[in-house]
Amino acid sequence: MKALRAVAELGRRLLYWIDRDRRERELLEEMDAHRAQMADPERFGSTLRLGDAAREVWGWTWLEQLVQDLRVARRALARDPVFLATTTATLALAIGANTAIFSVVHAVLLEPLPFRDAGSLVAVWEHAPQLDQPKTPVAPASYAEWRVRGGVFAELGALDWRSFDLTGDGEPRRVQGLAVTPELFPMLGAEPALGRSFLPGEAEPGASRVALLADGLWRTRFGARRDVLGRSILLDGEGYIVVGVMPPRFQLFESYIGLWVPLALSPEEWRSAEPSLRVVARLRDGIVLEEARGRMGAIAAAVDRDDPGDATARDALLVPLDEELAGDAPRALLFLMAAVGTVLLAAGTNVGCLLLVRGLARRRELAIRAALGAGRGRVVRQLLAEGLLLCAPAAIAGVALARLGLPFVSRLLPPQLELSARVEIDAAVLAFTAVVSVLTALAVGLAPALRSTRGDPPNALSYHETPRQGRVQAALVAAEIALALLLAVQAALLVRSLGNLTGQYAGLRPERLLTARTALSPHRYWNAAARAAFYEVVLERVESLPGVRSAGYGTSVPLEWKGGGHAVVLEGRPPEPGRAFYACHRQVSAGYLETLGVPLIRGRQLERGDAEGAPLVAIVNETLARSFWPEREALGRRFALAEGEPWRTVVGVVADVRQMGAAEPVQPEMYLPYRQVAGHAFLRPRDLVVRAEVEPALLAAGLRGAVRDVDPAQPVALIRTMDEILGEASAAPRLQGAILTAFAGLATLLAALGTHGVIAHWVARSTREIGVRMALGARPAGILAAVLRRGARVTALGVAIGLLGCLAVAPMVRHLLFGVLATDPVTYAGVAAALAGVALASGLFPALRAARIAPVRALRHD
Amino acid sequence: MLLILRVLCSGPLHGYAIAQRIHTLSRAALEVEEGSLYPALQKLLLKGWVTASWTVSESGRRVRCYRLTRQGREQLDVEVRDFERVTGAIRQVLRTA
Repeated sequence: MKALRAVAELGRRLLYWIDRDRRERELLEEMDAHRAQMADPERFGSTLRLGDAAREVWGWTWLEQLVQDLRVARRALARDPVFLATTTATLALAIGANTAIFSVVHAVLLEPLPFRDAGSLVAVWEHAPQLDQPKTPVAPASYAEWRVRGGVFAELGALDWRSFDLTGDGEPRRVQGLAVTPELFPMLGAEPALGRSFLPGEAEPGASRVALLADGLWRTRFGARRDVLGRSILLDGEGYIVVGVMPPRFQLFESYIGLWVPLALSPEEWRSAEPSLRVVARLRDGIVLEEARGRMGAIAAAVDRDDPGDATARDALLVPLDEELAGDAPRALLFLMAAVGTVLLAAGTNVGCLLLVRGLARRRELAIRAALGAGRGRVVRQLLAEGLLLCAPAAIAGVALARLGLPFVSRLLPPQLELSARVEIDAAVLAFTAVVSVLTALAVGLAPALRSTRGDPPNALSYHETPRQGRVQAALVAAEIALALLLAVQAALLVRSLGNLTGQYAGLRPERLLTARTALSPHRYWNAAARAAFYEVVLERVESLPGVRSAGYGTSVPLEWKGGGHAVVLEGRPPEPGRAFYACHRQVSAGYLETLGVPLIRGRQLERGDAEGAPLVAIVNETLARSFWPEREALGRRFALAEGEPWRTVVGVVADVRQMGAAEPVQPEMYLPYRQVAGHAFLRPRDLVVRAEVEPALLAAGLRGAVRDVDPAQPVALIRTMDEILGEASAAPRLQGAILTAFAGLATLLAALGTHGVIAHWVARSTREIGVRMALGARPAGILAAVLRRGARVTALGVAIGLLGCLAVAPMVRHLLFGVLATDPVTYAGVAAALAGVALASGLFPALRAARIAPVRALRHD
Repeated sequence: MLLILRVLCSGPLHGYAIAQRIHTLSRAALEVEEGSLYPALQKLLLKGWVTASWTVSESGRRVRCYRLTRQGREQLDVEVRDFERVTGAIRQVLRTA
C-alpha cells in the first residue's frame, strides 16, 4: 500500500516535470488573481519567492540547478578551447589507461573461472619434504588413495601430458594433448561444443580409443568440419575416434593443448609412486580450504602409518584453482594498477592545478556571483559542475582508448588463462570507469572550488593574490613532480631488471641460434639404434647445410621445458634421510653444449666416442658440482641415475645456464650422452639446435628438408631462434616495462607542464615587482636566478617527496625485480637528476621572459 | 494543512475562498499568511489528497478549484484524530499539572 502510494506520488512528480512550464504559469496566474482580490495585497508576500517555495514541493529544483550549472560551466570552458582540449586529452589518457588495466585485473582477479561453481575447485599437488621441490605432481597411488579415503573432496579429476604425432591428413604434426579422467570435464561443467564428453568406461585399459579436439586444432587441421565427429584420426599411428570438439574458450592449464584423450592406466600403473598427474578437485560442500588442508595432512599421516615402508611420504598441497591458474600475474597486475592509478592522480593534480590558476583569474567573476546572492554552496557546485564537464568527455574518450588498447593489454594475461579469461569492457568495467571519473571530477573541481570561495567578496573584488594561494599551487606542482618521479623510478628499475634478465643468456649469443623440435614417437622409434641413426644422420645433414657452423640434439633447449629431473645416487655417500640429490636430467648429443655456447669450466666436453660400450660419463653444471661435492673436485666423481644402476663418471663441468627461467634459481643439472642412457624415454633428445653463420631464418627450409630426407613422417615443430624463445619468456616483464615507461613519460610531461605553468603564472603576477626591481638596478641575470630559485625550491620539494614515496613502495616492487635492488641508489639518483633537470628546464622559458621584461612596460602593466 | 482539508470537506473551493473560509470560520482568530497557502496546496496536489480544475467563479473570474479526493478524506480523518489526541493530551497536562 505504502509502496503503491510512493509510486503514485512519483508518477505525479513526473507529470509535473513534463508539464512544468504550464503548471508554473498557472500557479502564478492563480496567485496574482488571489492578490488582486485582497484588500491589502502586501500581506500576500512575494509571488516570486512563494512560487519558488511551491515549485520546490515537487522536488525538481536540484535538476534545474544542475542543468543551469552545467550550462554556465560549458560557457566558461568554451571560452578557453586550448585548456579544454589539453585537459580532456590528459584525463582521457589517464582514465583510458585505468580502464584498460582494470579490465585485465577484472578478468584475472575478480571474475570467477568459467567452470561450474569455480569457487570450490582446488588444484592438488604433493609436497615431498625430502626433495628440494615445493610442489610436485601427484603420484597415481596417492590419487587412488584419496578417492578411496574421501571425506575432503566431492569430486576429483586427474590429467597427464601426452604428445602425439598426428598423421594421415596433410603434413605430419606433433600435437600436445592431455589425458584426462572421464570425471574431469563433468566436474568442471565443461561441455563440448560438438559431440559428447568421455564416458566413464572409456578410461578402462583396452577400451576403444577416443579423442576430443580443441577448437584451435579442429579449425586449423580439420577445417572446422562438423563431420569430423565419428571419424578416425591417426595419433602415433593408432586410430582414435573423434567424439567431440571443445568450445573455443575452454582451457584448463596450457593454452596450446590440441586434443584430449581418456587417461587409461592399468591397475599397476595406478599403484605407481612416480609423480606424474596434475589433479583438480572439488571440495566437499561446507569444507573450507583450511579445514581441507588439515584433513589432507591427516590422510597423509594415515597413509604413512599404514605403509611405513614407503620412503616417499608426501603431503598434499591444496591451492585454490583460480590462484593456481593466475600464477604470478596478480602481483604484476596490482602493481600496474597502482601505477596507472598514480598516473591518474598526476593527471588530476595537473588539471586541478590549471583549474586553480583559472579559479584565481576568475575570482572577480565568482565574487560578483557571491555578491549577487549566490550562496557558497552554489558557487562550489558551479565549480564541481565544471570538473564534471571536463571528466565526462574524458571518460568517454578514455573508454574508447581502452577499447583500442584491449588487444595490447590482453597480453598481460597469465598463459593459463589466455583463452578462458575475457578481457573486455563490460558493465563492471564501465561502472569502475564511471566511479573513477566522478571521483576525479570531484577532486579536480573541489580544490579550486574551496580555495576560490574562501575570503569575503569585497576583498576578492580587488584583484590581489595572497601568498598562500601561490603556495597551494606550488604544492600541487611539487606533488606532480613527486608522482612523476615515483613512476619514472619504477620504470627505470623494471627496465634495468629486464636488461639483467635477458643478460643472463648473453653468453649463448641467442641471435644466431636456431632451434627446432623433432620429438620422436616412442612407437616408431622404440629401437635405440633407429633413434641413434636418426639423430646422427639429421645432424650430419644439417651441419653440411651452407651457413651452419655446428648442430646438436638435446632434451630441451633452455626455457622450453622446466621439468625432467630426479634424485641420483652418489658413490660413497649412503642415502641420508631427508636429503635427496635431485638433478635435472638432459640427454644430449656430442656438440650440443658447444653449439649452444655453454662454456666449459673444467675437464672435457662430450665426444662422439661416448657411446654404447664406452665408459659411462656425464657433464655437470657448476651448481651440481658445488652442491653435491662441496669440498672436493667434482671431476672424476661417480654417481648413478638410481639405486642399482651402473656408476658414471663426471668428465666435465660447464657453466650454469638458466634452463628454468631467467629469474629462477639454477638447479643442479647433468648432461648425459644419449647413447649411454637406456630408460627415461621421456627425456630423450628432441630439440635440435643449430649455430648459424647466416641469418638463421634462411636455414629453416633446409632444416625441414634435412629431416624430411631422413624420415618423411617425422613432424618438425617450433622452428625459432633462441632470441625468440627468450623474447617470449620475457614478454610479460617487457610489456610491463613498456607500459610503465610510457606512463612515466606522461607523468614527466605533466610535471614539466605544471612547473612551467606555476613559474609562468608567478612571473605574470610579479611583472610589476620585477619592473620595479629592474628600474632600481637589478641585473637580468639576477632576476633569472631569482625566478629559477623559485622553480628549484618546488622541484627539490617534489623530488624529496618522490624519493620518500619510492622507498615506501620498494617492498611491493621488490618481487618484480631481478638483479637490481628496489632501492637501487644509482637508479634513484639518475632518475631524480633527470627529472629535476626537466622540471628546471621547463621553468627556464618563463624565467627568461622575466629577465627580458622592460621596466617601463612592466610599470604600466595592469 | 488540516484546516485546508477540513474546509474543502464541504465542497470544492478556489484558493481565495479557502483563505476567506478559514478566516471567517475561525472568527478572524487565525491570520494565515495568505501566500503560504499556495505551497501547501501544491503539497496536497503532490500527495494526491486534492485535485484541481479551472472553472469560472460566481464573480466571473477564472479560478482554480480544489476538490478533496477519497485519499484526502482518509488523510483528514487521520489528521483530525492526531490533532485530537495531541490537544487532548495537552489539555490533560494543563488540567492535572
